Amino acid sequence: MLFNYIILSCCTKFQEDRSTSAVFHLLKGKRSIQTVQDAHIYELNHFYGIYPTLSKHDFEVHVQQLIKNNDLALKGDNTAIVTRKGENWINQEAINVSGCYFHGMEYSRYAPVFWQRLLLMIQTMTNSKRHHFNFIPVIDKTEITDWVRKQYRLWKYDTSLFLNKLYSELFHLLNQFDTTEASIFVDSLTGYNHYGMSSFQIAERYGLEQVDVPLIRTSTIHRMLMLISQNEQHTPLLKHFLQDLTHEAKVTNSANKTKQFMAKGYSAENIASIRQLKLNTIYDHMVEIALYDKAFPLGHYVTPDIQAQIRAAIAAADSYKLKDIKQHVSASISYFQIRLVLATDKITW
Amino acid sequence: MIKEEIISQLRQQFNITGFREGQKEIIDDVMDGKDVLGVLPTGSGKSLCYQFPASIFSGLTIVVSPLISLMEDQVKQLKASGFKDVVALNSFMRPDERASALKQLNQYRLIYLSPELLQQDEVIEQIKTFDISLFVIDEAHCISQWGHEFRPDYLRLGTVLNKLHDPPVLALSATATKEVQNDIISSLERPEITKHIYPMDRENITFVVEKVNSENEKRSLLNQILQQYKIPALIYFSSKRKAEETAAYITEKLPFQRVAFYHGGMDQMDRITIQQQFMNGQLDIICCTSAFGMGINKQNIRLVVHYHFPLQIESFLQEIGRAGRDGKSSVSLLLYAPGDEIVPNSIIHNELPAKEDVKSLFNKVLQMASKNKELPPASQVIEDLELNDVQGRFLYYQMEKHGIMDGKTLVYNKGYLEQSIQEIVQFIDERTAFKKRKLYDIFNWIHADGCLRERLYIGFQDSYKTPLFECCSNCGFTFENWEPDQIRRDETMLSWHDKLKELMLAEGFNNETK
Repeated sequence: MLFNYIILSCCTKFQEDRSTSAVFHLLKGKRSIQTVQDAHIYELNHFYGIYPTLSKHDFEVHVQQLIKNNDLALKGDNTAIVTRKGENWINQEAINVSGCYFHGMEYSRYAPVFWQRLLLMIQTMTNSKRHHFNFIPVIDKTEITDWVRKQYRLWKYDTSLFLNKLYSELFHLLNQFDTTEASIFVDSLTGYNHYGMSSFQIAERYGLEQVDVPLIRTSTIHRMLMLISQNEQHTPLLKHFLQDLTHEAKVTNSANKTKQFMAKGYSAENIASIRQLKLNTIYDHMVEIALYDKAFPLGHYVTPDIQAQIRAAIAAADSYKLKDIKQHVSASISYFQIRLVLATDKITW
Repeated sequence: MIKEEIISQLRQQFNITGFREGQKEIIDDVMDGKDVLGVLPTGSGKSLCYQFPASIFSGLTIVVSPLISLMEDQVKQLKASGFKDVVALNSFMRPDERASALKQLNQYRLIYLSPELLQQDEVIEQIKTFDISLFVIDEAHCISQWGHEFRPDYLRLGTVLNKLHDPPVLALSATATKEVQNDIISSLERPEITKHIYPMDRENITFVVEKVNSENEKRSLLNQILQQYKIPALIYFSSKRKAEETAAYITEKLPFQRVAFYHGGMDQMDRITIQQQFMNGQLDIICCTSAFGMGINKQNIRLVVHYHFPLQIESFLQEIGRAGRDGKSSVSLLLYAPGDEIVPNSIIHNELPAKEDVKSLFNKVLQMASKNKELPPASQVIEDLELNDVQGRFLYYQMEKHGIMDGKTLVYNKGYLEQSIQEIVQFIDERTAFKKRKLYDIFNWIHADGCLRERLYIGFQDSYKTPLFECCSNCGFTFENWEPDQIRRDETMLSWHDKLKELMLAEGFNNETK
């Protein structure tokens, strides 16, 4: 039960500081400072965003199950602590999940794009090799289909060459996984006259819980991405699947528009009036951008002096809560400025 | 007449070798601008009758379709076949998406939408600005089946046609008795419509009814038959849960069979996966509800089982029509156990509010209205009255029809209300009696002593073709003598190495996969 293991691990780290919905946001990869900070502070970076398709309902059902099963105990303010029984279970289970590899903070943005491009590319190229053009694509998101269409144009006269190369790269990577993990990966692929298995079918064949299947796949993909980045010369074609990632892969669409205006030198107020959005929404976008953009121009929005004041306040308050920090800075410093500093600094913590 | 060169060009586009019975006749009349009613058996390629003209016409072709899932499937399949100028508009689209699609209608040749959407003024106003070459009503029997109760917008299609300046109409159905045909024609207000009605009997299907004593016996009979044959099969259930349970049961008992379940409660990607795996021969047996099948084009389904029987013979005919499209010997098997009629009976009773409740329902509605006689939002009213979705829609339609409600406001007049309630109660009686009669028909067919084939088609057509294989269980068929083409039992499990190589059509890696 990988999913239960992960929920309990998160609760162990959070202790009683955070509610169970913080666990949910963490696994979904919510783009808020709170969630990103939680991941850093509580050393849960590896679990950040590893389950983007998780539904609130499934999550609640499993939390309730853990409580009923006496592995987790609910406290008054919706926080949860792991019981002695739960702790023992985690320790036992640690061996079974030792093969799993997650690196959410690093890969959660790219993993779904990589996977979907790979799926659709294999379907497209194998069908094309067999001169079969009436297939229903497994992925219909425009950002994925556009990319695949471009690649298809490049390779359409060399389908065999492409498929042979991709095959040997995947073979090389999968050989470094255990048999079950590799088999699950291969069974999920769709090709010519062959449709990949759904999560339900995988769960049935391998005796797994359905909720674990996407997690196992994510773990495989994160490990693949790590292997690809370590040995780029072994997997030149797969490395290519990570190129021209659209900005949407990193920040939300709307934040991306704000980013384009920022690049042209518009102020937050200007952007708000041009886009007819609330100023606070634009602030949220900027904080979101600051979270992912290592080159975020913090100096444009917060002078070095004020930055220093805010950092000192964080130390004095011994807290990352906005309210606590605000009490230690001069009244002229806004919440927005504090949030921006927190967002840009998160990497160094 | 269609020009030969166009035909050959389109044959290529739609990947067909020739027209099936009825297609050419209907297409010819549609191309001539005539109003057409086409009743063609399932699996005869009804959709080609409008897709084909749509790709030639200069204006838009509008297709009214009853189910969102069906629309989505058809759009996906059309796009896959290279017909890209197609879109499905439905009420689940985000308002901004729909607005932008509506503004750009001229990008499309074929537009699928629901009858409900055609009641919105903004939609009509937009569509009106374009030249409409053809207005299609797919699954036109829905007009008659659902229109009277909870999808009244089906009955308003005549008015819609007027607003759209009366474009040529094509109404299509696989199962329409004379009664239903007349209903369709009068709703569309096209008495002069040209009819193309084709016989629906299937000469390569053998009809089998097995009466057993219990649910358990159904299972073991199914087990026994599926033990013997590995053939593409559909098993229809009236409940999602039963379909799932039976799929699990077969998987456990007969591990060599590749089984899946399918119902409307699954998400779209999972539904497409199951459909495609079945079409590709990766799955042999689908345990499903009536949600499976429309738009499925698999030639070699050998067996269609009805674990529960449907509410009417029309649905039964649609479902068994999916067997044996390749013309080879196929079997329709219906399993009956005493008490099987309880579920369909209660479905019929739950579809409409109970007639004894109508009066108290209206009393509650009156209490809910505010001082200025305004009602809370419909969803809240329906929830407070503890009605299901269909019952709620029925109630609203009746209030509107009898002038009890105007928009959100109640128009209250005591004497008149009493009379309306009377009429509604009577209407519920009529509809329930009608549906019970339909149920009774299929029940009687199951228990018939004579030839099942003859009894089945009697209400639809005068005669039927001589069966190519065995006729039916009442004419001497037994499973012992049935020898359909079977699928090879391949139980060797490939390693992921071999699977990956096969899937990626990789060549020249023989040494590596050892």
